Amino acid sequence: MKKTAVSEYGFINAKLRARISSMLTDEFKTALIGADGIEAAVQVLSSYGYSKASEKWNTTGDIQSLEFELFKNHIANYSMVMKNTDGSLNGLINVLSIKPEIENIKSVLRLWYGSKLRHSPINYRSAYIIRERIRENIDWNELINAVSYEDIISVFSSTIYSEIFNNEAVIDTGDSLFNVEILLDKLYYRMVIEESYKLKKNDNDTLNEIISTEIDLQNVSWIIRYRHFYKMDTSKLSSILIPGGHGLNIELMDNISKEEGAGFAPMEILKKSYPELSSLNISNKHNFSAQARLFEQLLDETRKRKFTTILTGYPFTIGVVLAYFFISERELRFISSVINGKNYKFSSDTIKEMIR
Amino acid sequence: MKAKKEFKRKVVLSIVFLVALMGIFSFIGTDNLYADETQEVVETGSANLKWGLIAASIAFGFGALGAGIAIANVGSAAMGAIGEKPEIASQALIFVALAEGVVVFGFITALMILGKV
Repeated sequence: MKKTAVSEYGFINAKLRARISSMLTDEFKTALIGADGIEAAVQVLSSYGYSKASEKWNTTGDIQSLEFELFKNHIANYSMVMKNTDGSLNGLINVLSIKPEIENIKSVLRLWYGSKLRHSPINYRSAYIIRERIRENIDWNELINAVSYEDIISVFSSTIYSEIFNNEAVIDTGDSLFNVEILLDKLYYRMVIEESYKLKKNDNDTLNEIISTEIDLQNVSWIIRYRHFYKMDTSKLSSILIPGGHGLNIELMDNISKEEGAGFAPMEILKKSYPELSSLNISNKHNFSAQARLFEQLLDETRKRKFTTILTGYPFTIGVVLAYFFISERELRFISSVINGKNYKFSSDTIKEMIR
Repeated sequence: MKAKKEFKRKVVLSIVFLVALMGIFSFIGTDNLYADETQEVVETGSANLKWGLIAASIAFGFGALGAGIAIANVGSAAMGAIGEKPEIASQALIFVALAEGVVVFGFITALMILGKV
């Protein structure tokens, strides 16, 4: 019997909506930012459902342990949603859970890279690595303790990441982990797009809209960073951009840049998809950095608005699930920023200004 | 997944069995009713009675089925929300009760039909 949207999303979306309604509330934000010092802020966390993280801080007094607990909490969100779904929705959540796994892989590889190639001590940092299974069957201890690149290949041999690590050139021993990190991100987006075809049309459209904006945001951020600040050459930049999104590509950008009186090329391309970007004028070379940041912020705001629209619209779609992960990630980022601000003894006003 | 499929199969089987049983008993029951009537009543009244009983059972049966489907959806959503926010239990139960109302309408309709036959 084929499931209807109501029976597929009734339980999980009601559950997630109930959670969303108590996430990142003004009351929570005010209480956390207004807390008098880090102890008080951790106390606030405890009363808003983060008792494990707060307990961790109370026993260790270590802010990274607290952040580690928050990250674990984030991973637990994926498991919870997966347990309560089935069919194509479950398959998609399974693919979405690659994201935190990739974050963990990046952290481990950075440690490995620092330890093996730069001979930096890793004992302290390795305590903040998730060692439980997230999605793929990865032996995290073996990965951290890998002696050679062959050991890394063998750790990933039976996982979806094998195609990346089998190519030895991905870890540039003289440079950084840049290549491998880009490939991991690309793999994630490719898998999400592939999985989206298995969804119903309505869900597929919603997911594509959200993922396209996310890809645009990621690509714009890389273009700003690598082209305008690090002067990366066109072919290299072209190869790192994530396929998908709303047609951002380097050749088109180059053609636009050659035109008389043309503005910031990525914005010229994306203006068709995001009309609200038209109000921004990034041509002032002197204040490029601030304008580019504003451009990123505007795209991020657009994404936020899309989720707000989803949450106020038809409730039986995948949008609510995606909104939940988005808000949950945002909440963790918010907590982390405020707690760090409190740790550096910044005033409430400064913190408020910084996270705005 | 396998357990879920097995559960689904059992539910479908029990519904089919129940419907079949209801059908058999209703026909046996109506036959007995005809037996007590005189020949003339059988000719005129039995047709009314037969269709009246079928109409009443359809009204009640579909009402109950509709309520079942509605409660399954509303109830699961309510449970999901209550699990996260127990304070909304009373509000959520109102919606479950609204779905339950569908079977009451079916029941009343069935009674009204039975009153006419």
